[in-house]
Amino acid sequence: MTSKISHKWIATTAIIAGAAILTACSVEDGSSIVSSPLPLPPPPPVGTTWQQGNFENSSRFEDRCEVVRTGTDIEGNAFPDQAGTLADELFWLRSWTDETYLWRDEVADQNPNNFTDKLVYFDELITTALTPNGDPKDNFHFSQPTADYLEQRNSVATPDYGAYYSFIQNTPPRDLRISYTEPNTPASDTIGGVANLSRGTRILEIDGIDLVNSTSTADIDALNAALYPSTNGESHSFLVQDAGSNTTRTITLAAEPISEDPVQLSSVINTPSGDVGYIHFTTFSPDVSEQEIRDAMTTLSNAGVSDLVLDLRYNGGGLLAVASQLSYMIAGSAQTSNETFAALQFHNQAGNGNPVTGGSNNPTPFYSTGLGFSVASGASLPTLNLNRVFILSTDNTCSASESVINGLRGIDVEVILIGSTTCGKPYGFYPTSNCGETYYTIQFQGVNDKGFGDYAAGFAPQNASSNGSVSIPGCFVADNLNFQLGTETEPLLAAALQYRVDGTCPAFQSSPTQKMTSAEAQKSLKSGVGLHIETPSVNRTNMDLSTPNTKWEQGR
Amino acid sequence: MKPLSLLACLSIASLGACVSQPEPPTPATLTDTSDENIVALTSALAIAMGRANIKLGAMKDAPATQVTVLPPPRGKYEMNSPALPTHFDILTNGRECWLIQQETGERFEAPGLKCTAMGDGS
Repeated sequence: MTSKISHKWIATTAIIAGAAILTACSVEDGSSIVSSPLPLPPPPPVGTTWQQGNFENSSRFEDRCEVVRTGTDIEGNAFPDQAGTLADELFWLRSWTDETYLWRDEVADQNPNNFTDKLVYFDELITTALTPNGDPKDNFHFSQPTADYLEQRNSVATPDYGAYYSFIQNTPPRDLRISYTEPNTPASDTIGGVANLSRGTRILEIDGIDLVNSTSTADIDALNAALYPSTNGESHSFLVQDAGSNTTRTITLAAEPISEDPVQLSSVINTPSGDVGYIHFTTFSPDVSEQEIRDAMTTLSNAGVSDLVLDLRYNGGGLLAVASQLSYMIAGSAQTSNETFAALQFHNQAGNGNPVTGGSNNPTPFYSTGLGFSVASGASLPTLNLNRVFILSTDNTCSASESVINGLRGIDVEVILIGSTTCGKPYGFYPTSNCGETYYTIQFQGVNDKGFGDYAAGFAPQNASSNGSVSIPGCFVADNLNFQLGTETEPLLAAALQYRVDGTCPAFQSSPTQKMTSAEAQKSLKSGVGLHIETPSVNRTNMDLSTPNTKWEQGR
Repeated sequence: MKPLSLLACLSIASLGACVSQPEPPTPATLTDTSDENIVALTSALAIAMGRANIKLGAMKDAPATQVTVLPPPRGKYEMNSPALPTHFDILTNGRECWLIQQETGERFEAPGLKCTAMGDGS
């Protein structure tokens, strides 16, 4: 059997031995030298007896479950459950919140014994403070069954067509368009030289059901089921109309296992004032994102581009480490050496440690080498050595994407934002499971090298209405689905190229194919006639760090 | 000898009971990439990581002197994820192979794992 021999054990041995020596030296007359006794602390609460303001360590209650699971989970790990009570689970939530929640001192300490439902109690373990705009300060508090959590995170490829949807309008007359498609998927397959679906294509009917005007629950359910297939091979017919076309066509799509391709497009744009790199980067989440963004930046570095337009308009985030690597590759070693990309700021009692992992809380540097996700650890990364970058954004630009903006601004690399206000999610969490439920509670806020991380209302181009967001240089430009991504006439990219030349923004033009914002989409949902996508099985939907909104607007 | 080991020995020596230490481990490489050896590797890593499912990350060209363990895949809501791979150096004392977690320095036995001391062509 493998045994663990750690330096920790050796250190412990050394400390014990050393202590023995010290003890021998300190005892001269057979009695210990003792100081005056300190006043005893108040007795800790006993078990699940509530005492306001006194919190036992959460480990006291961890894995003590009202319903004990046996066997192993889908990842092969034995369930750690022990026989316990509902009170144990409630007191675990209370102590875990006190130990890790970012705004722990804003949570009212209610007696868990007054609750009969752990999810109801969990909903109480949240700040009730509001933002200056009157919105809840914490919008990201939810849980889901651990079985669902594990199933989702292990679903590498899900049944899909490979298309991302955007609603121009989600109430009759609905206007559902394609924002982009994954390459080599049913959506992007071509028939007679025409892709089944492409950016701007409008879906009019599915299986003969009128998507534009239907209002019956049965029709809406059928439409949602067809838009989000659940099984591979599931086939549906679509009546579609391409952007700028007056004619319709019918296609048939069969769902396949689809994996995300993080770098959708990378190109070099030749301009009179030098070559400009363009990358459409859609996710920092999969391990392969490290390799794909490295490869794209290598190409641009080899081409000697003098500017970069980074298209993060549909990038909801993912791995902070890859965001750090990308930022390093943009700025280069001279600007990033020994600087902090992002530091995780925990609650005000956390000290220098990470209260969630129990480990140290070292700031994330600008990683200059591969980390092993998909690029070998230690392998050098290319650099563009730029002191400015153009980032294309929408309200789907979230989390790790925003950390690129914040991280680069922290070292005085100029970030020019073209598009609309980002979603504003500087917060993060470690999903934590106990007794079959996985809980998400905000535990940290990312701050940059200057210690700044207050962008909960997002970053906004300077000529956009700020509404509490952080105004930074750039131009407000609406995302227009009539234009193909990466083309120089596409409004956001065109604006970046214009701003690059003379520092001006294009005149504002509202677009007939401007997608709805997340807030608008939610409003239409509540109206009852909006198409809604399959709801993630969370107890409070649309409360996560990005996905429900993201999936709502551009879910596949 | 690492400082902690030296400290341990000195402390124990002061009590008059210094024990002999095994040969110090030296860096090693994984030259055998057979399924059997990878199973031995991942079995040891599973214990080191405290989880059943181990996926190896990208490694430098063979011969590898370190192995990388990927973090669990991100859930769909983890959009600000601080997850990082975990790296282990491979060491051997000529008879057994060991895995040293780079960040913590913790050392783990790897029974059945075949590795070769660096510079040892045998």
